[in-house]
Amino acid sequence: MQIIDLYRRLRSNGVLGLNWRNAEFQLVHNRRKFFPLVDDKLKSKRLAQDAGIEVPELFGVIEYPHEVRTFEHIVRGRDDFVVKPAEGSGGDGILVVMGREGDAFRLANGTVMAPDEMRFHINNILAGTFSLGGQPDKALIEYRIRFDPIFDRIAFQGVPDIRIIVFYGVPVMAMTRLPTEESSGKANLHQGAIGAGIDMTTGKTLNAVWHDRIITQHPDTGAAVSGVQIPHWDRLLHHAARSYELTNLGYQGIDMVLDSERGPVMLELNARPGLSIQIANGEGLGLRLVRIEDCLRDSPEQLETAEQRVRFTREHFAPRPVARTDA
Amino acid sequence: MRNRSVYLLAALLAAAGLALFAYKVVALEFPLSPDDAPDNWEVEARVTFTAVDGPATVRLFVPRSTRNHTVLDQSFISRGYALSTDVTPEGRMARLTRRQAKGPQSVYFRFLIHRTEPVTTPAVAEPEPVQPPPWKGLRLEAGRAMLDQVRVEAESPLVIADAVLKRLARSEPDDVAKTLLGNSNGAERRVTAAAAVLRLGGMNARAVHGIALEVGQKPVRFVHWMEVAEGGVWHRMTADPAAPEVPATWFPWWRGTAKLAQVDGGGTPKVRITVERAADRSIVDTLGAANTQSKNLLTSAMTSLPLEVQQVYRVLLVVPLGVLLLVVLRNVIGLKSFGTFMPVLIALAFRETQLLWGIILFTVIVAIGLAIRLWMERLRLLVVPRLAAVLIIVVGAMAGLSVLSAQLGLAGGLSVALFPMVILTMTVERMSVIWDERGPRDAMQQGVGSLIVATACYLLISYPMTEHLFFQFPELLMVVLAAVLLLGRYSGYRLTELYRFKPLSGGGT
Repeated sequence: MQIIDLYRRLRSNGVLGLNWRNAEFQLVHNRRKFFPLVDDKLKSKRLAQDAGIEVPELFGVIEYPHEVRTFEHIVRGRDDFVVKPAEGSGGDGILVVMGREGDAFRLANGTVMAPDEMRFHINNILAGTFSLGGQPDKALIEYRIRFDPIFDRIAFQGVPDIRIIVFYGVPVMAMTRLPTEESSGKANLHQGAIGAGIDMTTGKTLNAVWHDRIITQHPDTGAAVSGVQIPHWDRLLHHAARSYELTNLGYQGIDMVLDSERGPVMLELNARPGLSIQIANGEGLGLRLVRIEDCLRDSPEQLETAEQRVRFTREHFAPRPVARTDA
Repeated sequence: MRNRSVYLLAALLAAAGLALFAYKVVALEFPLSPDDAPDNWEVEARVTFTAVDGPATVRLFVPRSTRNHTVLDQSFISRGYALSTDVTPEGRMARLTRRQAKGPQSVYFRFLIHRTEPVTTPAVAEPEPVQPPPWKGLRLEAGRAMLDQVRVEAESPLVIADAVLKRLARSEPDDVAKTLLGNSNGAERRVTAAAAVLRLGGMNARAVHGIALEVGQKPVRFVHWMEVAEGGVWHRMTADPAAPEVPATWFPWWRGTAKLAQVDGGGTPKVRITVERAADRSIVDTLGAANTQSKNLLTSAMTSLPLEVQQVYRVLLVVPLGVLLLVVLRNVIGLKSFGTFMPVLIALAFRETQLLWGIILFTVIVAIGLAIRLWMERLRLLVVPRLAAVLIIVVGAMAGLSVLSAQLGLAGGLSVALFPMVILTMTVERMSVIWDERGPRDAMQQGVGSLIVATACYLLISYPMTEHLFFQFPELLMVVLAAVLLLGRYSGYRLTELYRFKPLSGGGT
């Protein structure tokens, strides 16, 4: 009986489960032929550039093993850069080079990598070690983001990012993922990173969730994690709103980071964004999605331009006042 | 819209499946439970041999009805062979001949046995002249020596037969017994030799060969016993003096010293027997009549197949039910497992290895593979060679385990060879990737989850009732398909999600 009650309350709060997300949103609103646009980071990068969304500058692409020796040429004169698989998932296979020590490369986690190890890593990327399903892949060499100092106090040694769920171009819900010592610089929640929900109307962080517990301070730095204003919030929302035109995927997630010079930069798009964002925000996605569906049905002309869609978000998606009880 | 067409399709499928099922149960009286099935047995013998270029003849003993068994529906499937029947002193023989045969040949012989209420009174033995065995020289001397030694003790053929069998069955037979048995002391040799010794002394005795009407024999072996005439009736005894009672399930097929099948114009024939319990009640109804009624494709699709193929489908037809369970456990309960269908394939392997051994062997092999695979991570191998290396390690571990358990005398360990090695390899690979990326806890969680799902699938598909129902009523697949389609549109929470999202259950109603 308790379970049925729990089930009913989650449903009425619009909390999205995997089956609900897959059956009613992902399978219905995302056509499979558009998936390669988000699964291949090279493709989504080019689309974003065409649409005027800032992306990390591409230094070079290595597609075939015999091209691996062009790597030295690509990074000549550059001290720092990022090597990543085009079709990687979950941040696997990404190397962040911070500087050089002689011939070798110094990585973000402090280790030093010899040139032949680097070539081996690139070969592994090409062989598909990090790609979904293990198909051959491409290696991208691109600009390393200089993180906005705003995150210095609330992120431990890593890549804090901002994810926004977008439904037919309307930003629905957002969170920032903050690395901790435990997550060793990675921004994955199940590896121990912190997820903080974001107030869509103001861009201030809400409560944060760490290991499914609600926290207000960063476990490593002690800095407050809620109530932090995310800079460039309006531009972040506009980027998110425009991402729909890039891919034609009705339901997607956009991952962005803040560069200290360039502002919001898009890292990747995701056709199957996870559901933890609901826990970070203390609120279900369902009610917001239904609201957009209603508007698309009744007055689609209100959601035609990116500006209109951002306005819709700001008007309708304030955090729910009674966010949670510790039931 | 979308949902409505799924519901409609599911309803149609379920209705069609259940209607056919109900028709077969109510109108055709198909038994619902394997225990209700009438005592009918389908036997199939496949004789294969290689013909030299020229005419070929296959002679095969054909069973006769006994007082406890009715043999019916005998049929031969043999392309190009002409059939005739011989009657020999040892039994009825079918003779299949072909003018010109070359290369591998196969002949199928099928029949049905209906077992009636057992008759306890022994069969009458007609007085007939006793044919002495065609023994010469050393064998004849050995036979006479054996006869003289046991005759000292008794005159009754039954007691003599028992004494002869006892001497032949010793674990270390004396020289006389060795000469009579030759290089083997199996049951067939013992009953044949004992019968010959008795006939040498003018007593009527014969060796009987047949099969046991029992399910689950893989492969079906012949059983051998002896009949001894005393007091005008035949007495039966097995080759084992410790347990002389012939089991009620043994069915006599042919008598004497010959092999079941003989071939002229070809190599030594290989015989493969399949025994299946037949659940079709119509056989009983038509026992008197020559042909069986209402055997159309719709109602007895599966039983029209050759028995060997039937046995494959007995397994295959329960797989969809296991898959349905897998869908429920993953999409409704929310258990995580490796691979989509891996647990079902592991469950199939469990059918052969038995559950406990299956779990032990699976765990040991995956643990060995995982340990080596995690160590191999340092070698930084490329993907395809690395997978190949894991596969080789898995095969090696399987072989090693088999050898080890053979050394220790653990029969269960030998069945490790039945595990699908590719599935094990992929399990090791996936588990090690998760171990590296998300830590040992996630990897163990999913590993144990897979094992739980596999065990649940095994318990479901190995239940005798399940196998019986899906084999006799393949239309139930439509019902399973309907259930899977409905689950395909299930958008409710998974049980595990209720706990994951519990913090979001506040407010509202």
